[in-house]
Amino acid sequence: MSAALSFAVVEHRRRGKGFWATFLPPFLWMAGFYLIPLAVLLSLAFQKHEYVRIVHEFTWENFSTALSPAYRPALIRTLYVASMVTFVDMIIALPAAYFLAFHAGRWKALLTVLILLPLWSSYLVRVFAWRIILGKVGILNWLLIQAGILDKPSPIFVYNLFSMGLTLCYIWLPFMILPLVTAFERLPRNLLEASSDLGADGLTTFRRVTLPLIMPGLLAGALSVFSLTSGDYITPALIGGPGDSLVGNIIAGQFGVASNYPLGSAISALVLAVLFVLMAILAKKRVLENL
Amino acid sequence: MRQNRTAKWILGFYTLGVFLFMHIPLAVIVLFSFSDKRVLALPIRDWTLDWYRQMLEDERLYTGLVNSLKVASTATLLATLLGTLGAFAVMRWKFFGRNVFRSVVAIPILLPGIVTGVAMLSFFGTAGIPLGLATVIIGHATFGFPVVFNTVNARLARLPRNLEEASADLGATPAQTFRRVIFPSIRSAIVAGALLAFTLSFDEIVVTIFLTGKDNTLPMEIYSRLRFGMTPEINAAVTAILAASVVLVLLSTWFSRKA
Amino acid sequence: MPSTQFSVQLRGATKRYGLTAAADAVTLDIRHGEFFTLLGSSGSGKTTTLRLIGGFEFPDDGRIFINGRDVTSQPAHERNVHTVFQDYALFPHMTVFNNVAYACELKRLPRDDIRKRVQRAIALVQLEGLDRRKPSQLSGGQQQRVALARALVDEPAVLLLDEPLSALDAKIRAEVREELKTLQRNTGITFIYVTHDQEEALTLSDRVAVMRNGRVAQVDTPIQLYEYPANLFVASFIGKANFLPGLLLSLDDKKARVRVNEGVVEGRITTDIPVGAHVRVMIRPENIRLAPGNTRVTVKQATYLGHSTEYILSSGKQTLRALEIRRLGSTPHSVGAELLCGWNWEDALVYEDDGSALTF
Repeated sequence: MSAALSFAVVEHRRRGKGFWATFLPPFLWMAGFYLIPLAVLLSLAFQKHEYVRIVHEFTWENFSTALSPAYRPALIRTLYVASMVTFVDMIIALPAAYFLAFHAGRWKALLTVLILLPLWSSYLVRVFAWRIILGKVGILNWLLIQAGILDKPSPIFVYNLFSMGLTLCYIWLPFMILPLVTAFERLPRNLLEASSDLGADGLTTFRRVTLPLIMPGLLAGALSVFSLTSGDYITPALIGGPGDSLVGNIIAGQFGVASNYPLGSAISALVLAVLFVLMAILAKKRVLENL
Repeated sequence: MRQNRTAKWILGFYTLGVFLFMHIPLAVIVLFSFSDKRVLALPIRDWTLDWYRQMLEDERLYTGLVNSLKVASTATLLATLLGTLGAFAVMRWKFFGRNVFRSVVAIPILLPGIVTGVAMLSFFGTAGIPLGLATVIIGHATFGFPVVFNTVNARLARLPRNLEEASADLGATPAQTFRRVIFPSIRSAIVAGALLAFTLSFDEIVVTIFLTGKDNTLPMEIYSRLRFGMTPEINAAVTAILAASVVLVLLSTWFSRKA
Repeated sequence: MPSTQFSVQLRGATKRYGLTAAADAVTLDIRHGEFFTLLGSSGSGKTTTLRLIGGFEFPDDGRIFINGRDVTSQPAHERNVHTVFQDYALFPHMTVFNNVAYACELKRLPRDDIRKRVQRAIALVQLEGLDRRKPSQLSGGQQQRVALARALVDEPAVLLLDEPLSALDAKIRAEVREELKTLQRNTGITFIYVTHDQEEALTLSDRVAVMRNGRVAQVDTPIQLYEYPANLFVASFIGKANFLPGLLLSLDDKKARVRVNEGVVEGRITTDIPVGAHVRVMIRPENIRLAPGNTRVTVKQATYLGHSTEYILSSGKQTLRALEIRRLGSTPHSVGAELLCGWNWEDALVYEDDGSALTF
């Protein structure tokens, strides 16, 4: 691989066997099992698909199909849902992370573990829990009937864009809170005092000092949530409505039942393009170091 | 001042709400695993441990569990080895493309799992490698690697630069320095990273769906049943896993605190 | 009581953390345009007192007045007081200009006015041409000046400085110290300065409050503090001194006779001490005359300091430290030499021994 050459060592310390022994295994693994597969995926996107066969012939056709009215709504819906989920998670996470970093006191260790806990427990079941809560015989319906608000169970809470969005917000929330807590903790306290000392009230200090300084953490969290949401296809399948499929469902379908790898690859390539553009913008702002 | 205190209380209640939002769904699962009704609906009339007995007798859940343990432990071993080596290479040597390497390593956790999954599926298909637990292990090791790399890298970056020089100055060979100075100071980070990689692998489904052959991991088995609806045995299984996770989280926090 | 005559007044200001009082009934009257220093070792309460004035902490007891107005419960941003923080606390995401402009922008001054004020402040601390830099692109000394400019730009009633020189290296420190003094004189703003460095305190200040265990031990001018310390603690904290333990034998107006190990010495007394009490006689090393005198001593150690020579002398069990200014043609006494020494009785101060002397 020519990429290997670009990693050629330019001196610093005396390197030799030690360097190659530590550098080569991870490098070869990454190249062989990640970068090459990505390259294969991208190359498939430019190949022809006839019936269930792949014809090795260059074409842009898959991209025009991907952007055609058949698939465009899912792409747009994904952008919309991912943006909304990212935004809502920001609103949920910001005050909570602030509280955790500044006012949690002796509860801090416990609360931090509690943020990690959902992250470490089964993703599938956390999605499914919302079906138990929102479903027709679910907890929400039961509570509303007990409270006398409804007289019979309503099916409107589940299998729609709302239940899907809510579940996605819930599932990916820890990825927003954690980098924010770190960012708030890194914020030197005396900067806040300095701002107050120079005449800024709490809100002004937050807007002019705190927010700009935690921005890398906030954007890192946003990137994670956006990326994870836009690639999710299990949540839409389990708790979304029939018309609410996201781009992930389409990709999964093309690599599954439809068995149209080139089209699936082209759609994946579009998702990758969006994410790489976002990453490139954020990398400039040194956001990626905050992940 | 008064105003300040009010703001703090509001913030506290908001945070409490956020934590309830994060944990009520988990509580629901745990609660229903002890309910004696098959239908997952309130009110719960009687409590039972029956679902746990059924879960233990369920052969397919058991096979899934064994497969998951195989996959997670092998993938974690690989990820830990690769991640530690990579972090060490990046710290120990300056080489052209070092920063590129560092960001490339982070990509598997930045990109959604589905992309990793379909990319590997295309690759294995093109290369004619049959799908099975081995390909699942490769997939899991690939995203476990950056997880370990990040934790170990963060710890190594905090080590004083001159530690190695001090050790060499006192007469230690590079190998002795690694064994007696570097390794003891990053051991807890390696363990914390490995634990996280293990849990991620154990719970993984998005990549697994694309890479597995006939063998089902535990999450795959649960997923295939979920399409027909949740059952109390699954609640029981998940509650058991949750309990194991709590232990692992606590262990991991403890290890990463211990600097 | 509160008066516009004073810039800052503290009346019994107390701040407790758990059972310990970090500031214990601190009462101070700081005049307009004064360079006032809070001097003490760590844990003495000097920083807590400063933070109470700044509005970062609120007293559990007592009141705080600025220009005669009660500001006790006002938060920092409502007080017309600015702080130069120990490690500067410059906003890392803002340029020098934006850092300095911050306070003016918050007051919504007109844009032109802000620019003029910022330029004036930047010129005042001699940082012209650096206004587009970020703090990370500046040296420690330059950051310090930005912090000063930022705090002075809107002419606060009081400037608080929390060990502002401690992060600088020795050479720059001396330089900035001179500039601080000049700056204070030129602006006429009240400076309240916190330090643990008595040399800084004595050279910079109009008046100094020596603090200990959250309390004010003495407030006075540097000269008074050094020459007439009010109590044994201040006497031992400021400068070097000998403290001879003894018993008060008799009093004759201000003149006291004290029995010490090797006989009887005379000293000046300023407070009421009953005859027969345990006392300490304080004598500064430079006030001990080597010959002629009435105490017989042996030279144990002689340290040549250039402009002077320091001697450690022993007289029986008692050790004395003495400082002799070098005079042209004189040769230092050598170790082992036997001398007679003494002092003017007015230079020896007698304090009741309350155990607070920091003996070396």
